[in-house]
Amino acid sequence: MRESAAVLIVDDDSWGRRAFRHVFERHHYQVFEAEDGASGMLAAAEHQPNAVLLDLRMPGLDGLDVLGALVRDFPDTPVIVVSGVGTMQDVVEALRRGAWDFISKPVLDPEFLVHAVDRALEKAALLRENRDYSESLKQANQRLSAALDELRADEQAARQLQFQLLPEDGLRIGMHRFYRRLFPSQTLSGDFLEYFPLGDRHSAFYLADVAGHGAASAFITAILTTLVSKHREAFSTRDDPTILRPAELLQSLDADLRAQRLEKHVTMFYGVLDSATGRLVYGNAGAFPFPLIANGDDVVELQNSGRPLNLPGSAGFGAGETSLAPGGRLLIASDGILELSPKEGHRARREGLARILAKSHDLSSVLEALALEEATTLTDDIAILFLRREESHG
Amino acid sequence: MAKAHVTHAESDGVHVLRYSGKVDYMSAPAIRRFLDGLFDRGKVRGLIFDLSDAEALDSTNLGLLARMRERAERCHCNGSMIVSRNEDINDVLRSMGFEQSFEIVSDAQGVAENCSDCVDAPCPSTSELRETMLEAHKALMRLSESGRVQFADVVACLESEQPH
Repeated sequence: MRESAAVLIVDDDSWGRRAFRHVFERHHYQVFEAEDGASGMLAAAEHQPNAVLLDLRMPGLDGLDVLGALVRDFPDTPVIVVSGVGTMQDVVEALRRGAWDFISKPVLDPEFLVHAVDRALEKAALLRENRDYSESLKQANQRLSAALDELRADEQAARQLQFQLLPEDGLRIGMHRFYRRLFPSQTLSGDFLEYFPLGDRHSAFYLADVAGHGAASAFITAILTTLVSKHREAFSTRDDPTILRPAELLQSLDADLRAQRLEKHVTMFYGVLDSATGRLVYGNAGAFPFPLIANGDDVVELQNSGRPLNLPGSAGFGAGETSLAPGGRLLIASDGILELSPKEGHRARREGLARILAKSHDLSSVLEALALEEATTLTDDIAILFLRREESHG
Repeated sequence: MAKAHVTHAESDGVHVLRYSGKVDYMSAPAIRRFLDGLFDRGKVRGLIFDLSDAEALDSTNLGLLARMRERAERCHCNGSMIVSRNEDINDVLRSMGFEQSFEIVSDAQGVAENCSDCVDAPCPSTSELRETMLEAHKALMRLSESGRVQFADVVACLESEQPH
């Protein structure tokens, strides 16, 4: 760049121009000259110099106006003012109008001028690089946000799908009414729940929590839903009783999930309710905190647990049986609920949940007591299932 | 909240992984690669997961413990132990049935002092293996307290081992 750099000298003093030409040529600059402001503007347009040396006091156009015009028309070209009448006001005005440097005449050492131009060119090059860099960053950023928008749109669509798969909130099946909420920590949740009728007499429900969260975990919740609906279908078309038997269902789901060779385990609580008697048969594959069952003010944890689905280990699944009296409630939440007050230990939190359930007869009062709202920012997904046995028919 | 940190030390084929802080899914891939590396190089006689200083382990890390125990079993190393005295963590471990796959102890210091009688049998009984592992754990902890054994940062180990 140094070899081909061109400098334009605008000065009415021909002796001065010649002296400057001499020193710049010695430093391998290409040199152009102009003797007044008007021809200086023409020369700048014609030769596109890399830098301009400008005298402020010349006949014709005022030097400061020439400076203003040069800065306006060639904003990237350094203009260095070299002037004999160097009052402080001149200096300030020149710098204000965009001069890159100010050197007063007489110039005792012309080499100093070359240094000033060298420095200005370096600075101009840096500014240009910086601008190119920002420009390419801006473009990369635009491409990234376009890609991100696409990902977000995908996630949003998946989220919509996930929420559409959820059963109706407040659904009544026989003597039992079911409520649910899903609070994802990201767009997609690894938590999922369902409830549905089984024949005329029973209803079934489950809450599952896939390890991790985000798209991969949400994908596994979709697989799980499909596997469960396969069993529902087998029940309705071939009277296959697996879906009525929690322990067998969990074993079957475990085998199917293992066959997928996906390294994510799933905790799941699955229950079958008898509408006529309120009898609850359940299986638990590692669901924690333990589900809570309330009959009147009396709340107990269903502590039979066991190995999560698709996790190596010798432990079996937990299984048990209990019953809901009229007005009895059951509350299951995924473990994200224990994170809501990290200062408390899990045990205190679980006791807190039991106290809340003792006083709550619907899900909204549970959520209120937990201070859990749609807008809450979560570190983990939370799914909550609440069900109540109605007092009487109707 | 304490930063998640996992360190490792080994004594005679018994490997101790010490978890501290709140260990979540961000740490899991590094721990996984580290343990896979151990098994690939062979010579794993026992695995001890020391959770004494852990505040919490998320589901991804709990899953990893179970998978690594299974891998240890496949390699005929049938000793996998968890040292944990955090009630919250213990409740979760129990809820997932871990006590049936792992030896879970609350404090390695309380082990019988004179384990020198245990001779290397070709096929150690479960109790012998347990004693050996606890002794290894105890020895490492004692040494690390006196500064003679440095527990190596698992993530840093991986970074230095990565071929570039």
